[in-house]
Amino acid sequence: MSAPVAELRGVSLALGATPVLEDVSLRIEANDYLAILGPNGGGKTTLLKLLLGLYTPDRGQVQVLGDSPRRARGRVGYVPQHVRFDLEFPIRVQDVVLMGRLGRGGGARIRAGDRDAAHAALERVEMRELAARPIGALSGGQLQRVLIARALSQQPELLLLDEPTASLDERIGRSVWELFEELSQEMAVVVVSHDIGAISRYVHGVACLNRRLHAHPSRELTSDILEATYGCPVDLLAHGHPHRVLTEHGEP
Amino acid sequence: MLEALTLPFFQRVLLAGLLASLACGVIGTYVVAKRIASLSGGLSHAAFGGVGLGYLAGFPPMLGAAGFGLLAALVVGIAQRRLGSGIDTLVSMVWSVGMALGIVFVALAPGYAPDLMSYLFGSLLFVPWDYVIAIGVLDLLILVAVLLFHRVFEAVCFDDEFAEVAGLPAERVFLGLLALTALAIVTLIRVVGVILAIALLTIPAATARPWVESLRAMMLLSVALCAVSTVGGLLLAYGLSQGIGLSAPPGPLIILLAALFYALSAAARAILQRRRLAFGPAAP
Repeated sequence: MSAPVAELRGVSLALGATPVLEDVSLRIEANDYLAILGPNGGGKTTLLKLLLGLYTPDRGQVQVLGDSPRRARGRVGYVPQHVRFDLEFPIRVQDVVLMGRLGRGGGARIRAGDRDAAHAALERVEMRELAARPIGALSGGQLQRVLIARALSQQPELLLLDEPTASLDERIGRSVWELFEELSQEMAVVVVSHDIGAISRYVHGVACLNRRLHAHPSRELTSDILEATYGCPVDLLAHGHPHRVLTEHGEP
Repeated sequence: MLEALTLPFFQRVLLAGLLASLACGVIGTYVVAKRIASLSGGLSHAAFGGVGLGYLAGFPPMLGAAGFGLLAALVVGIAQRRLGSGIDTLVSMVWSVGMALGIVFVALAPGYAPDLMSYLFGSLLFVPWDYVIAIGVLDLLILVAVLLFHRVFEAVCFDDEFAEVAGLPAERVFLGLLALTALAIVTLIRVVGVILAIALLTIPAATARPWVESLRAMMLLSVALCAVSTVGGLLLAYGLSQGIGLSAPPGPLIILLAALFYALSAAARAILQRRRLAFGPAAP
């Protein structure tokens, strides 16, 4: 078996006095398309930040692209939750996407290859014609795509997306799920979400995270696993896709 | 009022004001875009401690202001990441401790007590040539740094977390930006004083922000607004003293003018928005 793109081994991390992750192990292979599900506060964003080297584990090991997460920076694409952005910030779409090129040495100068990579990335998320728009004029879904393009302009080997389902109400062209599937032919893709609807038929594997990680080789979820993750009984109603989930009634 | 422009002393004052506007509009843009106004207020008040130390130890107060401002920038900048929301409390401590130190130092200084008001609210009318030159040098330093590193500053202001994971030394870049902010504040101390510096740093930039689509454009518009407020405030002060014998200090007048432009701009935005709602979206 070839070396994994990223690996967590027995990772535990507490933020302040709160244990967020406990004994989490996970292997991400090349061309994986993995969904990590879990309730809010279950440690999903923390897991991504460990892979990005923004946090160091209290126990256990994290390896990314055969190196420490910090040294792998620039080769890992990151799409944060778009809701935390300041839409009054005066900046155009193309300049946001160009930020993905900043880590490649050369410092503050823009080189020819940078613009090409940025345009290609915008093309990929079908946002090229909005390149000169200020971000304040975008819808939530469009901003999401810009952030995906910014990560793609890094030409990453691993792509990490935090809650990309937040604003995918609009249907511009094909769905981003197909885009992620297509991207996973070039890089490993990890999507984190609290929304079980995030698992599409395209996902190769699902892991459920609520402080502890419950991994599945396939995308089939069982109610046992969901119950272990969400801490309450969960009914799965599979009407093709996306899956719908209803929590058991009767409990506050 | 305009005959003032021909007076040599007034030309020197104007030059000082215009040079300070340059630093103010450029750095104010970052301060407003990154929303670090209160943090910058802390730096400006901390600088007053250095003014006091200058009097006590017998070196130029402006040198002390720069030293204290840079030190405060370092402390607050390093603490920023580690404290999270607790930074708020630290900033107010830096803010008030700087002021307290300044007052104590001046009280301990031998000889006559200097006019503190001029450092608190500015005293542009008596600006000496060497201070004008100092503002020019600081301008040059700030502009060169911005020309070289604008993209990095912009990235860290927009999304410091992404800047870091993309491989930039985000924390050092932020410290650099705070250091430039401290220097820009020093250029403003003679113009509007440590108390009003934060207003001139933020009001023109905040006025500019809704009208522009890039930080570069915001800088140009902020510099222009800064310059117009400064020149306007100076002329107004001169006119008041010549016309009706009122000696109003220019610093506060400059701030009031800047605030007036902000109010006018906000009203214009509101009217435009209402029109857009009434007549539907404008053709692209």
